[in-house]
Amino acid sequence: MVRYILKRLLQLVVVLLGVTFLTFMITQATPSDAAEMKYVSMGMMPSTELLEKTREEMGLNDPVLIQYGRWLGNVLHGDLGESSKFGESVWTQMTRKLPMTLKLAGVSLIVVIVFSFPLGILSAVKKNKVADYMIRFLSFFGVSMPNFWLALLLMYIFAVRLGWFKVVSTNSVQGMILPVATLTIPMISSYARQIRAALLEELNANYVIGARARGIPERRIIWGHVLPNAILPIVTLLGLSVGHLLGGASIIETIFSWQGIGNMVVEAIRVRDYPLIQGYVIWMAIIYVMVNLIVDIAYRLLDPQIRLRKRVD
Amino acid sequence: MREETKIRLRERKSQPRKSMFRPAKTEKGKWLRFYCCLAAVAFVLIIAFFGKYFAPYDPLATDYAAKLSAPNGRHLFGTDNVGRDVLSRILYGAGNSFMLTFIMIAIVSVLGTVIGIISGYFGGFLDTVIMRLTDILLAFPDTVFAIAIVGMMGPGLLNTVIALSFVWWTKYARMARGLASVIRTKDYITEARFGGVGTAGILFRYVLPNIVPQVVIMATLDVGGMMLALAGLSFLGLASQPPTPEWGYMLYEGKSYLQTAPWIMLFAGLAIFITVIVFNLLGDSLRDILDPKEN
Amino acid sequence: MKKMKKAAALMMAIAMACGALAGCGGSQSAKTADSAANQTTVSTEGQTEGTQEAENGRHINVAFFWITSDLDPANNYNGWVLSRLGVGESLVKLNDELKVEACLADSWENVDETTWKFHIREGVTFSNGKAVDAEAAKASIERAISMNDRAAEYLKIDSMEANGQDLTIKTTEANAALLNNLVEPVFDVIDTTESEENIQTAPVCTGPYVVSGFTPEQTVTLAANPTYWDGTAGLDTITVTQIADADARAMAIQSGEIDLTNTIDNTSVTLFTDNEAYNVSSIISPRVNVAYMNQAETSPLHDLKLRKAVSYAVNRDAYADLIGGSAAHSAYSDSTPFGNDTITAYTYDEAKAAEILDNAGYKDVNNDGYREMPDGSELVLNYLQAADHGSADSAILATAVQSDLKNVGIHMEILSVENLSDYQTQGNFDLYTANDNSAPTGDPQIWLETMYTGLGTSGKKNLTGFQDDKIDEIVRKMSETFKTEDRYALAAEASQVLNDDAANLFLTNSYLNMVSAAKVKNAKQPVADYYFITKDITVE
Repeated sequence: MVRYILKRLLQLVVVLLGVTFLTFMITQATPSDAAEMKYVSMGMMPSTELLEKTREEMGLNDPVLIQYGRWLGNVLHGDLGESSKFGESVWTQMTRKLPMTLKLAGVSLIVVIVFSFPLGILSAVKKNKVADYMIRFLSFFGVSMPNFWLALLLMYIFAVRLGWFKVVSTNSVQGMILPVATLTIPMISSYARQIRAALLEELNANYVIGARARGIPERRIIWGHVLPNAILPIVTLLGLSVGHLLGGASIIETIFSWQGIGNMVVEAIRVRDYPLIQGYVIWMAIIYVMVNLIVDIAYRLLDPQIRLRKRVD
Repeated sequence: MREETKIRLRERKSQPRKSMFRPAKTEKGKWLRFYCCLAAVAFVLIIAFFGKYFAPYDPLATDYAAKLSAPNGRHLFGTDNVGRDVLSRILYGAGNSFMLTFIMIAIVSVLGTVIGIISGYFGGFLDTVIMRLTDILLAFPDTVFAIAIVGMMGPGLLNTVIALSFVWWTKYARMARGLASVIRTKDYITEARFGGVGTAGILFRYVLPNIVPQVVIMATLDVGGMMLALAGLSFLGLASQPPTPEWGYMLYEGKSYLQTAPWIMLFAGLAIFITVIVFNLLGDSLRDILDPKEN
Repeated sequence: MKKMKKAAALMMAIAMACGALAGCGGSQSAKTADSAANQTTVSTEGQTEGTQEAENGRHINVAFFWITSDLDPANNYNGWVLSRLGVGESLVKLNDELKVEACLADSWENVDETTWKFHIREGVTFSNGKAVDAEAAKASIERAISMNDRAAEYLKIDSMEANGQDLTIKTTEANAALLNNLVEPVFDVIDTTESEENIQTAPVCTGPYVVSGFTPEQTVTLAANPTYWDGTAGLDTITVTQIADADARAMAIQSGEIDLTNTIDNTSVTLFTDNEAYNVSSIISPRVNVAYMNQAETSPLHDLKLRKAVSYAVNRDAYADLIGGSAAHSAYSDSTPFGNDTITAYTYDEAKAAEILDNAGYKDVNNDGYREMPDGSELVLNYLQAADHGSADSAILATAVQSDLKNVGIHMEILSVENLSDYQTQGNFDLYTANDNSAPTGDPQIWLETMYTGLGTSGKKNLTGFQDDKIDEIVRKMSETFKTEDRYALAAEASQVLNDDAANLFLTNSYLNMVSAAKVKNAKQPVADYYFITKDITVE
């Protein structure tokens, strides 16, 4: 196990190197360079001489690999550069806004688990009964609805018309209900269906049929055997969902004026604040990769035993 | 054993979603459902590609006098902020939205499958490199990466297509790789090889036909997802450019009129919603038919 | 059984991980808020920190579209926010006719071409009780100049001398615009003896309110300044929140979360006018929507006749109706006192446009519905529109201009571009639009100099290749003309020259809208958009 984790950590380093290199290279491919953007973001139109001077100062005339090395060195020291849009370091921006996004994502993840599991299990256990149809029908709408559309409709109905919640989401339970709802409805819908499918697959397995033949009560089969076995793919799903939550947060944060990094990056894109965009991408990648690592380790910890047991059954 | 677990894990991640509707009990029922879905999709596609011939107005023609008029006899879906006919813009926009979605699906599915087959069938060093590359790309949540690319290269439709394609092909590559690496160990492949069939022959005659159905299922189910992703980026003002009618962008434009002229957003949103539903249904029923082992 | 345990353990682990994630997020943000609060020292004794509800005392919630990451007025444009908060004040201020009024300085004198003398009002104190004298003002202005290039350029200071309440400023050259330029909030007078950290989070100033709490880019809480020199503040506490999105601001005021905000889009304003629950205050701002025309030889618009025809072909009144505001008459907004009523402007006249085009030889020779150039080659005008995500106005204007030009047979293509500056510097356009402030400090010179001569030094630039000796002469005269009325007369003269030259398409003057809940009294949108909260605003 230790060896496996070490191996994965090594892979992680490779992946993160690739991620940083890619991030850096994409910036290189942009039509206007950092020197120019610096002035344009201040509403200035620099002269060619001034631009050349700034380029020299910023080291933009050096070979790409040297620039990458220098940049990576800075990144490792936590120096992601200066945001032209916000006039402060990217690090300050990220540390101020990342917690807000993590909070939104964390609460949403809990909500997703709390709702999708019972719904998925209910749907599978009551297969082809009224409850199952209802859940499937609603979840179908949930996955097909553009979430920003849903967000605006919810906001209009519940905040403006009914006044139950706030338009501008504040750092409070009441303020978080609408953004969390719009972020989670499509995911709950999608996961409830996948959990149902995973359970049904297990229910058709030979060991279940065998257990039924031996007269073991259905309840015990489901809670004691089927559910633990079906949990593996679901764990993987949850890992992936962190990515969805972080990515989807951009739209939701923009609509609900949530001061997180999703909102920040959209602003940054509009004024092409490259250092900030880079900082965002790197942070997102690190978080996502770490979460997946944890999920994979958890998966591995559980998998062999469970599979062995399955064969015995 | 350990390697095997990992492969299983990857396959899990890249498997298409499970059927959401009641699996039809009989073979006949399955086909009936499939035809119904197909008809619905055909209907949507006809609107998408021929809709502009039914459009009552020029989608770019402005009429200041009639700006922001609610749905009425002259303008069935009302007009927008410069008096353009919303229905006409939705009909024209359908072509643009679909064209983009299909182009992207075509790019990612073909590219992803080819790379996946090569990786899975030949294995070895190439496989390692390709898999590490997908690892790196998968390290970015897809929307995040698309947003980042658009952010760095500048908003615009072409950049959006590049951005989304850049992430989505990995999904197909992993699935194709998983299937190809299983298929190549099968007895009939060995037999074929002994029978003198060349590598190209094996790939085209045996490997590809086994993978294509899965790719088609995945691609059909992805139409909806892709459309939503595209609309999301458009909604952030990062994809489509005015005055081109495109559904996501119409939502973006209509956002400011949510209260004063809700029809602009409502109809564009409904158009996306219905399209996504129809394609998801088709994808499901397609899986029922092509992939019987699910039940 | 073991399997069950494993599964349960896994579930618990997941739940814990999630909890940790959420908890960590929560605690971290709480910590940030704490530290922000710690950094912010309450600068006046006896003042309690403004709270969200503030049960006791008169309180309102206000939304700004922008709150900066620090409040140091010398930094970037942060002074604008400090000034809007009703915290920062400069030596002089602009009234709604855009004329200079006394503020911290109660009188001033232009001794000679390069010498200005200001008398600082007696009895004014900073909110910490320290007296404001010439020395304090000098230190504050010097600090601004050393930190901000814009500040340096506005004043062109050679030396300053403080003597009691008298501040003498010597400039390096004749700078007739100095008085007006001093209204810029970058020159807000702050107590420079405070620590840099305090200046960033709660600068000590002279306005009716003091900063009692500050969360960067999110909220500022304000409390009345008990030592305010000009009467008393109408409210005890104010919470100012940043809401960047105009639609969200409109909805937030509808839902009652906020009581006062501004820059509400014109389309949303209809929700509040004719509604007793709200007050709306709309003014025409100094901002003008302009379609700049390229006058380089590479562009067909090099031809004055074509420019004139285009100028007649656009229906400015209809545009004002579409996006709000009023039809523009000159390079300067109608809200400026620069004599727009004395000049002849273009009116919408399709027939006249067609006539000019016919006479100049722009005819549709190939019957494609569009006119060709006099030499028979194709005529297509490229119209660049910056993909401005904040407002739909530029897109609406582009569409409208395109459609009007089509009516007189001119083919125009719209290009929505992100890197507008690239196109501009390459001169690769026929028209481009911008929403520009035609009198940032209430004075006509800067604008004319930067956009219509080759003299512009900083910021925006004359990119259309416009050149007219008459304008150059007017700008030269302006630098040496110190009498306000004479400067305005020169501005009117310049406006007329620009119209005769059909220099650009001046389309509309923009509205600025302020909306407040009915209980809020005396909230009025000032013409200069770096003012907002005043001592007069109060609640019933």
